[in-house]
Amino acid sequence: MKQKKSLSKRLRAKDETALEDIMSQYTRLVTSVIYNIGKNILSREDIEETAMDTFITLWKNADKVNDETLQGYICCIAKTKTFDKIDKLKRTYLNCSEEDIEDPFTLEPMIEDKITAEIIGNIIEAMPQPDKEIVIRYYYYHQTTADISLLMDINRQTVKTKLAKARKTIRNDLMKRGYDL
Amino acid sequence: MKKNIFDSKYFFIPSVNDIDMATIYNDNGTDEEHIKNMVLSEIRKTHYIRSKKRRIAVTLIAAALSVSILATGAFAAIDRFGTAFGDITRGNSDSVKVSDEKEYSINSIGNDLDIDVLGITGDDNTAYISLELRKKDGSNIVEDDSSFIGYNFSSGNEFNSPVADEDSIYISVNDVKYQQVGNNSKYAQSGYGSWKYISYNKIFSEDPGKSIADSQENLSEHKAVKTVPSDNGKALKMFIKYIISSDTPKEKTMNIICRGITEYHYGRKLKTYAKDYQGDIYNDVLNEFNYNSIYGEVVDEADGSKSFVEITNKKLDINFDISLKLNYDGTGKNVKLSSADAQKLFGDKNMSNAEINISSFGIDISSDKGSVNGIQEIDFYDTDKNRIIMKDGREYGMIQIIETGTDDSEFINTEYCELWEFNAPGNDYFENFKNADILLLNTDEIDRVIINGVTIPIR
Repeated sequence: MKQKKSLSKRLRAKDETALEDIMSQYTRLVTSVIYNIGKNILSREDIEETAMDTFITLWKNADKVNDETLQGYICCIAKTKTFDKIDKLKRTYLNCSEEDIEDPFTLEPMIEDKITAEIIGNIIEAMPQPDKEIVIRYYYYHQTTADISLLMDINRQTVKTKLAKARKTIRNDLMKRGYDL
Repeated sequence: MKKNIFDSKYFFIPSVNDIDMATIYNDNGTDEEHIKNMVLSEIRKTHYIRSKKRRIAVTLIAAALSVSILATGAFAAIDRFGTAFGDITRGNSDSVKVSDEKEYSINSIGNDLDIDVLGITGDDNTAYISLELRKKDGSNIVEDDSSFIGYNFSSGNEFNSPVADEDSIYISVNDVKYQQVGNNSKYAQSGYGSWKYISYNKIFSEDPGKSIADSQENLSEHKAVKTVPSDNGKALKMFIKYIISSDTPKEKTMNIICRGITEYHYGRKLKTYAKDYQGDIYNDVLNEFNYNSIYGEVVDEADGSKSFVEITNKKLDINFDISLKLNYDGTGKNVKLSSADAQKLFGDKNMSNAEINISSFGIDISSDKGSVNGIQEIDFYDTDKNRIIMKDGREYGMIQIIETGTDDSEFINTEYCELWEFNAPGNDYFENFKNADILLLNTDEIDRVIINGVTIPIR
């Protein structure tokens, strides 16, 4: 049986129904990421507008999309658009939690190229459960430790401990690979 | 600032196949339909303007592409794995009431299998589950073949020298995970809670006492799985025995994920299998087809060339998931701490009636004073100070202790424990995780625990 083209292929071909399908699949995710970042800052209308910007940007950059990275790419656009929106609103937007302030370790400068991103992805991939899920929820979907604790029914302190352990793991692994951190 | 690791345009999300996306979403009051309509309206507006200018060019390009596609047979190459697996049938939902106190429900997902529960028996500490698997089409589930090679899907290691008994059948059962159902009902239903992974692979021959994997896997009896072909190969009986213990009535779900073992593939030796459904190699494929197949890298022994092939429907194709939900009254063990131990442990002279409770879910420490500040100073990764020593001498480190003081702190609500082999040679942090033989604690087997350097006898 002939297979239906993948979403990314259809999107690259500027197939409008592909975008519709993507929106059906990812709108809740996109609005959730936006909400998690812009909590208490963005109004419902702001979130909707940012979500629209996200999908329109995706449509314009369809040539950069493939199925494997689609979800991550959408999350990435949503995050960037959210910060843009918040900047535009000239409001304070830092969503800090206590462990972030205490730990100067940041992954952002390292995510500058595909190789590093993939290495970090693989490190996270290799983590046991529930650590991996906690990391993904926290860093990729911007859920708070309190939310993660509630949703996964895991002690909040445990969540924090595991995040700290994950950071340590990533740091050590990257240093072993010659990264200067 | 919150750390973000998805700033790259190359960013990808490591897969968590079991993640319940419903728990990622939040109710932010947005109107999805409105967003969709506005976006479509916007891009149509842009497209209309452009399309007027490009209509002729687009027509010509489309015609050229059609010729190109037909000429290269590109359709044949699209999503080559797409239709290999057929429909996934969900069925065999059953509920077996063994006694007034125990109730077990079974949910299985098998591509072409009927899975019947022949019986579940047991007592407070042990459950014996007997299953029978048959092909829906009535064909043999077991075929004679002397060249079976079993693989450990978790480690990727090949089991050398399998017993080539014609009537033997080998099953690799991996990723058995226990779950304590939490308070969040939605989460509980989706298979989350406080997790305890028990990852193991054990391959049995027909001889109940003979495990061809014993030499490679340090498995304990409480995780035993045995399979026996019956009805002239048309059925496969699976016996699962495991020991449980808990001090309070608990509800648990045990998932057994079984992937078929196969043999040499088209004369080429299979070198690498998908580790399991969480493996990092084949997630895209497995995601799409609900992990109902195994893919592997094949090395052609003749020329060393490698290829990526589907490994299913060979001599043994018995992929299935079973979810067992157990309600039972277990037994746990409470140990009253001496005042001296309590003081050492808690660093609090006023601690009284301190107790340590060891159950299958973890180690709880409680006191009627409620102050458990000392425990918070424990470095869980200090395996010199935190260990469990079993009666047979095995030692495990990385104890996580859940405090159950009476101060109504946030630490009360969860019972969670993780531990892994402390004395496994050559295990570093990652290796420990990868090869972890995380045990469901059986209190009867524990001799003593060491918490923060304080030894507490458990007898």
